[in-house]
Amino acid sequence: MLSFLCPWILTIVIFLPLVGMLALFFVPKDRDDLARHSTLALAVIEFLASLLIFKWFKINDEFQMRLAIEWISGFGINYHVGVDGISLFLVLLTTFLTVIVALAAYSGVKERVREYLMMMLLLETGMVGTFLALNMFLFYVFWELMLIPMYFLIGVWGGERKIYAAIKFFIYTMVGSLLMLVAILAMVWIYKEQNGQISFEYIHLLNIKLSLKAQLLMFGAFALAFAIKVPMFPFHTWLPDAHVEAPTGGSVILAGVLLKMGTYGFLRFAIPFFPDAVIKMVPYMMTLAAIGIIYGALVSMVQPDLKKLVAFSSVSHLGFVMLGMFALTSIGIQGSVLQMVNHGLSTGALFLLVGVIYERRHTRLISDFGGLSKVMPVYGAVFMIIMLSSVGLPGLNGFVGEFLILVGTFTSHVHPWMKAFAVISTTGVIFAAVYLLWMYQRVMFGPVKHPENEKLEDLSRRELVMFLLILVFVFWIGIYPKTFTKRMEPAVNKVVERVVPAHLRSASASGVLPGGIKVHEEGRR
Amino acid sequence: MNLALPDFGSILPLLILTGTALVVLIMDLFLDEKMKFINGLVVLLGFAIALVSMYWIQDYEVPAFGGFFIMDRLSIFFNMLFCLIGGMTVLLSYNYLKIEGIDRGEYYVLLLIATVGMMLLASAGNLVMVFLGLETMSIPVYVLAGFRKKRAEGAEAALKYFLIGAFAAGFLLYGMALVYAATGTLDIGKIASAVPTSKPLFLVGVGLIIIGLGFKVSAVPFHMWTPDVYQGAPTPITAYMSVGVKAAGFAILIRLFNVAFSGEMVTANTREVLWVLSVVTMTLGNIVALTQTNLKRMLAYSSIAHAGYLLAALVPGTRESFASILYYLVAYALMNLGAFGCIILTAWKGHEGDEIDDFRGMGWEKPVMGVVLSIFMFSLAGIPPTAGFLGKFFVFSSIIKSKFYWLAVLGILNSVVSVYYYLRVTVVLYMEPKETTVHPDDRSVFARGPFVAGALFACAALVLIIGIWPYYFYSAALRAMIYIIP
Repeated sequence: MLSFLCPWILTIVIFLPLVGMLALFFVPKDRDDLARHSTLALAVIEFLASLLIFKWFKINDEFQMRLAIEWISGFGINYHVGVDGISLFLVLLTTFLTVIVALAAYSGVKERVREYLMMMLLLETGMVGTFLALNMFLFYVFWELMLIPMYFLIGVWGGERKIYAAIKFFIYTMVGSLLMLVAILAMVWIYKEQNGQISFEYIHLLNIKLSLKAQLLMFGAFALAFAIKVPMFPFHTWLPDAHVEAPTGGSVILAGVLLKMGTYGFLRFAIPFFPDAVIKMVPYMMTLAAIGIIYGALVSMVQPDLKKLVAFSSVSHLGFVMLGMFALTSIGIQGSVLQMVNHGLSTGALFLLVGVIYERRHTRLISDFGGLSKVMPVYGAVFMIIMLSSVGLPGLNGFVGEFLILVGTFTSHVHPWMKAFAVISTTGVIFAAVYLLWMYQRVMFGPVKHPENEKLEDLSRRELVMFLLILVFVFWIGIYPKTFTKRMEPAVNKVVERVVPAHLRSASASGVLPGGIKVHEEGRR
Repeated sequence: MNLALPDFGSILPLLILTGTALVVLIMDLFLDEKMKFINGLVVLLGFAIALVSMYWIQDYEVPAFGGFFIMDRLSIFFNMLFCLIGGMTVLLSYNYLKIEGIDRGEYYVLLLIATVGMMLLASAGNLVMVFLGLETMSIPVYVLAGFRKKRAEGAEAALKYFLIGAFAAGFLLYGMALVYAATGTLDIGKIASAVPTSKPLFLVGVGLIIIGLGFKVSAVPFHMWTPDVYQGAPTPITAYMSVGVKAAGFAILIRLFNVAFSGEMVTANTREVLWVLSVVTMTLGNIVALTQTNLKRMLAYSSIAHAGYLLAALVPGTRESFASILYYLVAYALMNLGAFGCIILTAWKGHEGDEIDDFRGMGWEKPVMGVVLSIFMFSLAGIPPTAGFLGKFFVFSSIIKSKFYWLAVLGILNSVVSVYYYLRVTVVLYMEPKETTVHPDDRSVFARGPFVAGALFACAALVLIIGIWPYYFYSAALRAMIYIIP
């Protein structure tokens, strides 16, 4: 019925929020609820539009629904967008979380509501554009465009040290991304020397031939940009500051989508562009990922502040994503992409849950709570499911992702130490259980120690809808991940085939586990 | 030398501006205090006609006046830019002059003559003409810098600028003399092909010319005058100097390095010099800008940093790199004029409004100005999708194309440093609570300064438009470099 939209759908999904943002200018300043309603309506339409992408998506390894329009001629810069199995779910995650954030804005934001929602919509355009761009210049523009709204979200609506956090976030990201720009430009000119034609097209630049040394240098530039965004272990220090100071909605988007920009960047650009360098760098990246997993978990354990705890748990979870990705097996990378979505859902929900009690009590310290499950039984139940999905309980989404990642790592042949990395990282799952369950126990169980907590209201109907929406996907991915994995598998296999030389490829790269069990049929149960 | 009528055709825009200057000079005598705004309108009209006239003189793309004056596409590009800058400066000036009580016709006359000087500089075909253009530009600007003569800062600015300017002119002239001694010609087109009788003599001459022009574009270590003069001059003139004089300086640097000093012998020796000069310039500018609390001073150091990026684009000396300078100068002119325009809007009698703290909470109080100033700051910082980003993109792209990777990396790291102080302005605008100082004039920006607001709007719109569709300007810049008359 709507198929005439097919070639334009990606463009519509990218720019619809921008149009909505400009339309919000015309909402009178004091009509906060009008702004909230219209943003929510727009976010829902946007999500439905992105479901059309899902509907029209064909299971193959090509970029689909592509649209290319010449932009800066003479420089090979085009407006070129397309979707494949890797970006599909990240786009859906983005549009979905924006609906959630629009719902959360009803109680979470009290001041300058209109401007807050405008920034959210601008951010959505930047995020979706980054995932769909197939031209390096376009990608870079969207990548930087995201910074501005996030900077204002933290800086204007944030907590006490908001300015420090906002500037730190901005500058950290800029350092990496500008060095990436140098690498992109270098690639473009080298491509021109080799092929006589200037092009910023992703698909063209994949054909570039580079010496190992050049690959290592450029991989370094790309990896720095993405590692800061992920954040990987030594570059993570901006994250707790940004998260703690950001408003709830900002934290949800930051953890849910912005961090995925880094991991997506590795998978889409850094790994396929520089295959030889990647194979050389595998042990180092795996080490950093494993350190991130354990370090993030250990630091989480001792946090007195709920939001900081969730923030550091992100470092740990993103460590898993990186681990699965640099295992360079089909299963590992599929798990890694799935875990990006999982982390967006679970951690996003955790930030929302922290936001719920913060709005009621204006504190986030674990020691200020206790016995909440008696006062807020529904809240307690939702919190438990989300918390268990983050721990990785079988049947919920987190388990599937982590399991695939660990299997993928264990069966990888790209480096002799892979099994050791898998074993070490598995302890991260145990630590996750420790810090999350312990946190849950201290907040929810025991006697109600503080009299202020005795009269806390349970979830409102709006909040319940918000969490139920998330829970649908938590169970869906947990019980039937095939909906997701079968769509990403061809694109993931393409990356693996491109990067890993045949003799290092493990059997699972072709979709079969050791022992001949077909992954799709048996491996996911 | 015989003068032919077509020769006058090629200086048509300069004649128009000079004519306007004479008209204003006489007309001013007959205007009473309330009618002074007519001066501004006439000058604006003059700039507009000169701008439009540039479309016709493209037929005169031959050297005129015996090769002294060249109206090729490079000069046309720059002359159009100067008309744009001049026109914007007039729009920015009107309110400010009234507030400061210096609303006199001479101001506009000097502005016009300085612009004519810039045009002469951009179209010079002979080193003598370079010197003439430079002085025609500089002397009115010295006077304009001290136009608020009752203020100590104004006098300081004018004197400092004049003394250092005279010093720089000495370097330049000495350099020209040495180049003449070595090659026997002052014609820019002939210097490249001339075989110098003495190589050191020639190179020292080139070096002295670089120093002389380095003062004008405020390259480190010849930048000492910049912050004081920028702070002391009337704000519209600061805006005019920071973009106009810099653009004129680069216009002649481009012509010299593309034509006169394009020989292998010169470039082999100047490349490292320019490399070091550019890195030192941008680094010092950015680092000192970090600590400024006065917006005019901050923009002064930022203009030093931008001079560094532009000098970096001189290093490769390719057609693309020169074209990227042209594009960058357009972008820089728009965003800097805009930033200074915002300072003018916050001024009232006896209050310059140029401390960064004056902007506290302004983003919420005056939303339009907040957005516009943020656009300029993000553009200066080089964040897409603004003209400032595309400018840096083209500059670094051309540098990387010629494989000066370290220069590109240093430039990029520098622009990360610069992000901090540009963001500082947006922090003050939106994120820091307002103190109790009340602006005595709480009308909207449009009511307070309709002309300034119009100029700001135009600048902001152009910054976004040429940031999103840069092709028109970039290809014009590229054509200017392709059809340059040797």
